[in-house]
Amino acid sequence: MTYHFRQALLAMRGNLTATLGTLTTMTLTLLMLGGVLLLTLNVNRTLEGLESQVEVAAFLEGEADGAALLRQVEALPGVREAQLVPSEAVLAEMTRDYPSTAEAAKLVGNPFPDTLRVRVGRVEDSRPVAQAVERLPGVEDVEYGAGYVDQAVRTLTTVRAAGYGLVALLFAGTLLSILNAVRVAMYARRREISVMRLLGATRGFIRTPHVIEGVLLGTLSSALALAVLAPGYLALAERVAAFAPVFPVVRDQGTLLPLLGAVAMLGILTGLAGSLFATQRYLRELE
Amino acid sequence: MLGREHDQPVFLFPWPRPRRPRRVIVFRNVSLAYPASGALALDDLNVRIHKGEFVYLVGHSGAGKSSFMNLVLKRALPSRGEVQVAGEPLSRYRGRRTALLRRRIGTVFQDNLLLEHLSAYDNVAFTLQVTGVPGREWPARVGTALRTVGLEGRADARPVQLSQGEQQRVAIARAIVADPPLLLADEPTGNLDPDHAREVLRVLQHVNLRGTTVVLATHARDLVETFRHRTLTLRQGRLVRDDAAGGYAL
Repeated sequence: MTYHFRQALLAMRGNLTATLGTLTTMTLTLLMLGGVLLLTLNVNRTLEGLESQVEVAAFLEGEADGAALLRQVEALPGVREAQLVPSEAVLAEMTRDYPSTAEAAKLVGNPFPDTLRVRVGRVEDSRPVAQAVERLPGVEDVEYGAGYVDQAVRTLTTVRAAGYGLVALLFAGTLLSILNAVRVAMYARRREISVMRLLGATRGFIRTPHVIEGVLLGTLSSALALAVLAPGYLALAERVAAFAPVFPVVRDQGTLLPLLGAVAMLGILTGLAGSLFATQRYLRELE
Repeated sequence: MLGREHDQPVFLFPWPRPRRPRRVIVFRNVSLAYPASGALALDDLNVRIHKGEFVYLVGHSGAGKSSFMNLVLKRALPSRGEVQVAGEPLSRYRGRRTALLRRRIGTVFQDNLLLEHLSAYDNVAFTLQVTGVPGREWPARVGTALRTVGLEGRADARPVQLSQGEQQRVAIARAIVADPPLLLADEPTGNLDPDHAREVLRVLQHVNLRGTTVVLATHARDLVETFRHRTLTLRQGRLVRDDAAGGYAL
């Protein structure tokens, strides 16, 4: 094994430019991936917060059968729970929140209709649920945070998709970079490899130093990416938590450590997969 | 009942029948075409080489000597016919078995293929390293191989510090260090002056005397004439002469 490690290190040192190029690309990719994953984690946490708050309110017509409508609404897809609030309860709530409402009610009577309050399973469901409820006979009007919910969902989904797209492209680049680095290393050792083949070395023996090279590159990139990502994110999270406490920034180690571990593992696996593929192709070309 | 069997003479009491010499290499109606042009490098070749033989393979450039070597090493596959090495058809050597086959064949080429950054000792030990021989066995085995080629005093020298003849002898030491039963040498004296060439040939003779089958491809007439052995003459891929008494016949 010492021989294989020594050969791997010699190959990395011998092709320093290719090694540094791969290391840089891979580290940047892992940084991007880590960044996108952390962003997604926070986006999901924010969306969960929104989901728990988003409510579709259906105002019923005077003669509508509230109980029947409640059953119909509960049967709609995407509905987590629904509640029928009689007009008196609505007035009481409003009076509690806005005391002047009581005086207005003395003048014109209770202006609030019976109301169905509907909670959806996912925030993206709020629009279709609102549209479905609005179509029900007996429903006069429907309200939900259409403006901000839709926009928030759209923005966050777009950010997440763009991030994943970028990471996919970067991963393709990283893989090609590793393929190239391993290929250059094998080409530099072509004389040695041809001697090894003549002497009866197995394919596994010839490939091992280069597979180690790929894994070492992956490990180094992962370590570098984590060394930047972990303290950088924690510092940013502290600031966001201090200046915008409304955002539920993820800071607990139980969530962050597995995510960072997955990023590191992905880096190592990319190195392994890239080098396995490159060595297999190179040896097949020789035969 | 005592009777005739395979036309053997009948003996009245048990008598050890002379064993048929083992065939190390068998070419049966072998043709090999160049992939690019389709021209034949070897044309309907039939050859048998037995254990312990020293065989010259002679012919001009392009006669098919290297193609013969490449087939034995499974660096190429015949377009037609069958090649057997150590009693098994080449087609049976696949994957890891190809590597194991090559471990049983020592090879020496005109370009000695020594690794420039390694000493003579390390070049020879490289064979043992890639074939998984434990490190504790290396000093004795490498020492023996270097002694066989007369280079025990130059173990630390790098290839650039050695003469062409010495380099070729290191290559022979590397080829024999694992005690292969077969040694293929493709123009090993091609780059050498006559004195160095004879020196290399003497080493190969010595290796053959230890029991190793040696196949030496060469077009050096003087060598073939000086050290006489069975000589196979190839011309345009065809075997035109198989002379047990030896001698250059082109």
